[in-house]
Amino acid sequence: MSLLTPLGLIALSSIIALIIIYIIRPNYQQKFVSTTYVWKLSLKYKKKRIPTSKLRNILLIIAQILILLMATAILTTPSQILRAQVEEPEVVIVIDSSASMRTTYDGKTRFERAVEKAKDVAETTFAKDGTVTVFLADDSAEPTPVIASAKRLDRDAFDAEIDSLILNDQCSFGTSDIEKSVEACAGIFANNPKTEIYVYTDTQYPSKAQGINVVDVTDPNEWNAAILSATAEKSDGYYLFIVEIAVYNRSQDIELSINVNGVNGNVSSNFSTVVSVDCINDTVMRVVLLSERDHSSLKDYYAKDALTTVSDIGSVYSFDNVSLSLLVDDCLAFDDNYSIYGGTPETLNVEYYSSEPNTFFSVLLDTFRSYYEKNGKWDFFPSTHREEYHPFDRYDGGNYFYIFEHVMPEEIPSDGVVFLFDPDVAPRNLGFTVIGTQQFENVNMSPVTVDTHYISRHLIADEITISRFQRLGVYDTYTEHVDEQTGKVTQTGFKVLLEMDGRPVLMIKDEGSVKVVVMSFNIHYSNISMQTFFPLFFQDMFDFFIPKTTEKNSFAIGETVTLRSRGETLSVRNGMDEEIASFDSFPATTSFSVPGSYVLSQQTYFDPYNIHEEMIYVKMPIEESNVFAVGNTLVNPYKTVVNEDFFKDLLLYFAAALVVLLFVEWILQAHDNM
Amino acid sequence: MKVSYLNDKFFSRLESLSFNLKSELLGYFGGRHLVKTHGQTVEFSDYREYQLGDDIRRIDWNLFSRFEKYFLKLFTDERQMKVQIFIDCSASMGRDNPQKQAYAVASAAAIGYLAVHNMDKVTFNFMSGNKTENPFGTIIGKTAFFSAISGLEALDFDGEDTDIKTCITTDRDMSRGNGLSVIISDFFTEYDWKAAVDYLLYMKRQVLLVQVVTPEELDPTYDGRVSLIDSEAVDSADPKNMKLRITRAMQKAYEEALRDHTLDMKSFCNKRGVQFLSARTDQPIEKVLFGQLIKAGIME
Repeated sequence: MSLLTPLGLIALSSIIALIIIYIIRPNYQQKFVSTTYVWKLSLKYKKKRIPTSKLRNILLIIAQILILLMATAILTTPSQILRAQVEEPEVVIVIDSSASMRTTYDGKTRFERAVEKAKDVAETTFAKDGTVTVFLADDSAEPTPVIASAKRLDRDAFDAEIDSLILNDQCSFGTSDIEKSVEACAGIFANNPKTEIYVYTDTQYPSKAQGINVVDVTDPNEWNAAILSATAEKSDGYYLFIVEIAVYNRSQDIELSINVNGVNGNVSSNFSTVVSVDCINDTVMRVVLLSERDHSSLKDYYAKDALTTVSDIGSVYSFDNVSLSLLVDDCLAFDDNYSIYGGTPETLNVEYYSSEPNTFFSVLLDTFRSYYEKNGKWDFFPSTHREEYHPFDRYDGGNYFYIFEHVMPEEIPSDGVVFLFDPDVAPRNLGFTVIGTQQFENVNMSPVTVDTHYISRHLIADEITISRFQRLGVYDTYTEHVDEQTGKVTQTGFKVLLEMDGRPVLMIKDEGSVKVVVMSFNIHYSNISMQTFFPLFFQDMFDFFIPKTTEKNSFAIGETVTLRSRGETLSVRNGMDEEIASFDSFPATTSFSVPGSYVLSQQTYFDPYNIHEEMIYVKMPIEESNVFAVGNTLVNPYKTVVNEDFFKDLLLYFAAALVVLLFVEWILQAHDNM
Repeated sequence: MKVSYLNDKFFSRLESLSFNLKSELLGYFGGRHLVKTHGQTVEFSDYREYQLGDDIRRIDWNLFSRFEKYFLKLFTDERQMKVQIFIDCSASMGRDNPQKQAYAVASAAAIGYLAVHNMDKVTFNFMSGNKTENPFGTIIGKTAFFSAISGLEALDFDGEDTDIKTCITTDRDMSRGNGLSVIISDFFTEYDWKAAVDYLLYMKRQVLLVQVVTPEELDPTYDGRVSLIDSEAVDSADPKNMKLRITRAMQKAYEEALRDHTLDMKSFCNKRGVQFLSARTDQPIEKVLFGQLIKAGIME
């Protein structure tokens, strides 16, 4: 048996207190009686009756002393040793591999310094026949050791492996979770609670946990200037650029170079300027580049902020990219550059075919044009056609959305999405037939699909009334096919979204390049055009069939990027024009581990001749630019767990003995009072 | 605070009572107690044959006419009794319990009143240590009795432990066979009071023992660690004082000791034809005098 808390033995002094209490027991209570004659007689009787009273008194004291001993034993946390602790030295090395560890000074990065120091500790440990385990702290959810339980005999292999961390550039461009790496040491602690942890990091920890040695690998002369973020916003049709920069561990003037390329649709046109910013240490500064047209109105607004520098740039209403660079020689270069993409919106052509064009549709499309012009999502071009549609191969890289009203084409176009509205007849080979007109007295529709489809999510069936619609005959029923190998889901047939009298009135078909929506009633015989959700229905169709590949054009290292595609596949290429990933099931998610520009390439369903490309920029996490960041308190949660692993807690038995003794003492006390 | 039971109502209730004593009294003439000896009263007792020297005036001539023999007509005699009341005046009888003292005094006064009411003589003998005092002398008549009562009430019971045997056997006023001796005490003493009773019986006296006890003595309510200070103790170091841890077992032993002590007294008295009376001070004194004394045949 072992006492885990020997300090509890102090409680033994309570036995001395008990003896003192027995010695200085409270004085006898005085009672004046007429005579003690009978009491003297009774003594003889009592002695005769209870000869063991003295023994009982002794037992009572013994029981009380035993109770105090038990209580003291409980305080000392008595435990049974289950197995001997490992006595050999064991070291766990955790090397921070966050982007800030790439900070370079005097020819060496922090990461390299950390590896060198780790090798020194390993050398010392091997000299004592100890064991060394190395963790590389990154942002992974379940860190695993890069070198596990290396011993003296494995020294050569250990040296090779730890050197490879530098040779293979194992330092990341993202964040690291030191705490999680320390938690991953649980198994090692369970075997050897005397394990020492060495954490090599540049994060400053105000307080360190017991058993964790935090080694600071920073150099006081290091400093960093960084572009934290850059955005392009439209104001009155022209872009203004807002750039946030910061300098850490130094205050100095920084020059920011700005190059706007492909200005206003001219690939060879570019605007350039250099802005000097008087940066204050550890303070985010802002540079605002205003269009010459907006200069007078916005300059005063931004100039009110003392931390903002306002500069001019030419009038830009579209651009291919904006390249930003800090003209400095700091210790961390990976956050000195930035690129802004998405300055030229894609075109969305809406072709409205109708023998009798509907004014309502025309107004609706004009409203969309105004709306998209403001938010810059699309270059929206609606056009109305009274003539009959004749198929032709357009394939000019634009996106087309066809609306056919009443008069249907013989064959649907292959270069865009088709919306068939109140069809008189069904286009050839599309998979449905039109039987004829059916008339009602304003009856509400009812949705048939259990799961609301993306395009019908805003439709409220109860609020739609129609009095006449085209009865659709046989149509291809909707089925989903799951490829057992790839898990990819393909859909065929029409999926009914709304129906009336058991007949479909709204269907969708999404089979590769065939993307068709059929609405079988006229707005003249329905109130749908009066509903607020009708424009949203159109917007949902645009977004569903012609999705944006990414929600934005700038991401951080490790950030989850959701990818959508307008074609079968999508590939990702890096700045070296190397394909680093390819996807064929959407929406797909990915993340990037190296900063820089990436190209997202896809062959869309509607243009077999042109490759559609978009660019995004991936940058270091903002927090990594602060090369002297202060972290939270590092805790070692395994100190208490380890004891339980090596010792069996005997508290229960001592507590049971204490209860028994208390019961015996109570019985003795009760008998004593009888 | 002194407690007293003696008042007019108390004595008036005694008017109708009298002693019921044995008939072998050797007292003087003039009392009201009929005895076996023949005397000059008008109450017929027996006949006997005439003997020379007898007074011929006492010959019953009616019997002579029938039997032709001379018979004398005999009459009972009436004697005066002497009642000796021995009161234990030790501190245990009253220092810490005035009611106990008052009870003893009332008992003595009641017995004394009955005596003077029946033309008997009374002496109040106060026992303390090994001495007996009789401050009022022999009391005859109610006037002398009431004058003695006031002195009896003023008495303080704070003497040392009474040696009843020595007190009684050395009493010079002790006379043989002429009445009743009453000992009033709690009889919680190590001295041999039984020898005193035997002495009184030897002196041909009728003996009555009156034990006065308090409820606290019969059933002590205290417990725990108690230092019992005896009222007769000289100082704190007196061996009469005791330090006890009174538990339930101790209380039970006390009850047994008290019960055995009382049984021993009763057994002793029964064997010798001595009347014994135990009075609790929490009982009304009338109940003792008019209940237990009559029930025991001492009064009628």
